[in-house]
Amino acid sequence: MSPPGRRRPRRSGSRRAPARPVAAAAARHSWRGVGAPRHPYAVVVTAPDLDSPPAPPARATRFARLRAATDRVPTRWFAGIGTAVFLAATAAFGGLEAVAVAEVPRLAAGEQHVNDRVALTVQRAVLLDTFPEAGATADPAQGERVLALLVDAENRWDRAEMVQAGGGVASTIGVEALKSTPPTSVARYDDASRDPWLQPLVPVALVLTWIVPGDLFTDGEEIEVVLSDQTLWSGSFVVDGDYWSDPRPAAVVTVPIEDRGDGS
Amino acid sequence: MTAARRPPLLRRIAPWALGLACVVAAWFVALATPADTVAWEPFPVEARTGEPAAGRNLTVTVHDAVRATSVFSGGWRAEGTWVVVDVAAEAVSSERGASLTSAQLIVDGRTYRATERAETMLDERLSIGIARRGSLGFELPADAAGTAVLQLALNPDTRADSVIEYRIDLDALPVAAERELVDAQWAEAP
Amino acid sequence: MSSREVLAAPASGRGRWWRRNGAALLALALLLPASVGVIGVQEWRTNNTEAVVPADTIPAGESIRTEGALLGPVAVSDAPGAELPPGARAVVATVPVALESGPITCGVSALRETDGERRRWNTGASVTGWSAPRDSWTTCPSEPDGSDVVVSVVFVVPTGAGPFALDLLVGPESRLLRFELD
Repeated sequence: MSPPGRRRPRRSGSRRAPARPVAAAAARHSWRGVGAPRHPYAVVVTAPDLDSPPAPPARATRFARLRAATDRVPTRWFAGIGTAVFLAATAAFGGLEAVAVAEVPRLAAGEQHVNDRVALTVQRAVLLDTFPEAGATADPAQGERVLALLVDAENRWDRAEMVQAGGGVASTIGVEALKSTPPTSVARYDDASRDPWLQPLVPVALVLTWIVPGDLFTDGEEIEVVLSDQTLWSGSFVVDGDYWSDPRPAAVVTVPIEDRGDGS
Repeated sequence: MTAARRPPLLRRIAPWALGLACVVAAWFVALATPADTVAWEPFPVEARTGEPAAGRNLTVTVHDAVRATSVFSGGWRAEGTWVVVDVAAEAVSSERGASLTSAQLIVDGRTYRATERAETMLDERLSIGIARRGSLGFELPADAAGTAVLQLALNPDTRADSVIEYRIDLDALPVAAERELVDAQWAEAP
Repeated sequence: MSSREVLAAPASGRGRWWRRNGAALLALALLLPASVGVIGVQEWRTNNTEAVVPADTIPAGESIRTEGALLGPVAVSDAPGAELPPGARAVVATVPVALESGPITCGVSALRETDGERRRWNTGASVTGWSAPRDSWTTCPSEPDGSDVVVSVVFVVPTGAGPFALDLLVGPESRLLRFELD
């Protein structure tokens, strides 16, 4: 069956091969309702058995041939063949080098950046002594002032979303100079309601405020606002519902600061 | 005796054919099996104008729906495309957690939430058996049209709970120049 | 067995199969509906009984001494002057608390209907036209003036609701006391 001197992999089936033809005959007899014992190795020697039909030996030969053929496959070479196939596939797809990071587009104030969740336009940046109407009360004794960012936002998702200072859409707007800390408060520009809800496709003018050290920014200085895109995930196992995560910078808006002193 | 002769072709094929038939049947069964999430779907209750619609712990009567280009409430005012719905709601069996916190309007595949900018029936504490009545305002984009579905529930998480649904044809709504967003009060005067 | 007997076996074999397994099939026919019934009835009963079990249930008109105070008897009366729509009723539940060893913590958790629809009302209802008596509290005060305190809470219920029971949470571990009201 196998060439001499060659190590054949041990197959447990090979030892059972001789018993199988007889067991098959015994099983066929019990199926007919005669009540032969069910043990696979039982050998019921009755008159019919002695006329062993040619079918079981034929099957044994077929299996034996198949086994002999698979024995010839060189398992030692699998690792090598697999590596070669993998390298060939990666070469076809462009090689193993890392992909170059794309440049983030730079925008000016008033230009819109759109993603799947929201369309944002950073309009103005204003420096004020304090802005309690929008939710940011600066302490002049500590030398604090308020940086207010006016942003036009339009919800592009399929459901209404609340803009909170701590997360959500507000977390995708980061001021570079403040190391993208979350704003102190977010409010609507028209009626000063705090933590507003953005309804789908309804544009809203928002005011995001940060309490900043008074000497950090000067009038006319340009600040960079980084707008991030996120991916929509659908909770399937331990989380239920949809949520946005995995932020990556998608646009940088350069906007000059206007120092308005104690109010505009 | 050749009782052990090879069985006829049909008999030999029979188990294979049966097995294949079982696999095909299993494929159809898998197709017909609903997804796991179907077990948690909310129970919709259809509401008709002026008639109370009863859910598990929420009974709602939708009285009126209009379109308005401007809404006001006390000193606050807002312009835009608004849909104002006049609803009365009450709890049924327990006041615990019985507030109208979920009021949504689904238009063209998008879900709009009742406005929080004024005091309305949104988040109103409900009373068992005694209705509170007020407005719900929805701010929509200017080109909103078609059929909208108003969904009211006690909790935004409506899994396995009742949701009262009311269909609104946005194109057939009467349009008002301005409409008041009425805060919640007893449905029947004392 | 000869092959002729083998060919003759199937017909009576099936009948013999029924006879051999008759007892088992009978047991199955009895036990299967029985187990479905028992499990179903058990689930139904646990679903319909309350999840909240009070530590003590006090019958109407009686008091209980617990957590260093004598609580009860609880009375329920209509709130005079309340302006409510037709079909509504404002009921005030009054709990006299006689402190015996310093202030205690207590709060009303709910007003329950003990029969019929078994509805449950929360505190915090606001009723125009009625205000709580000047010397009453909504929860046991941490600094009471005197050793007798009256806790009174108003509920807005539909007319025809009742009989009632008042759930009170008492003590640092919030023991639930249920005071039955007539």
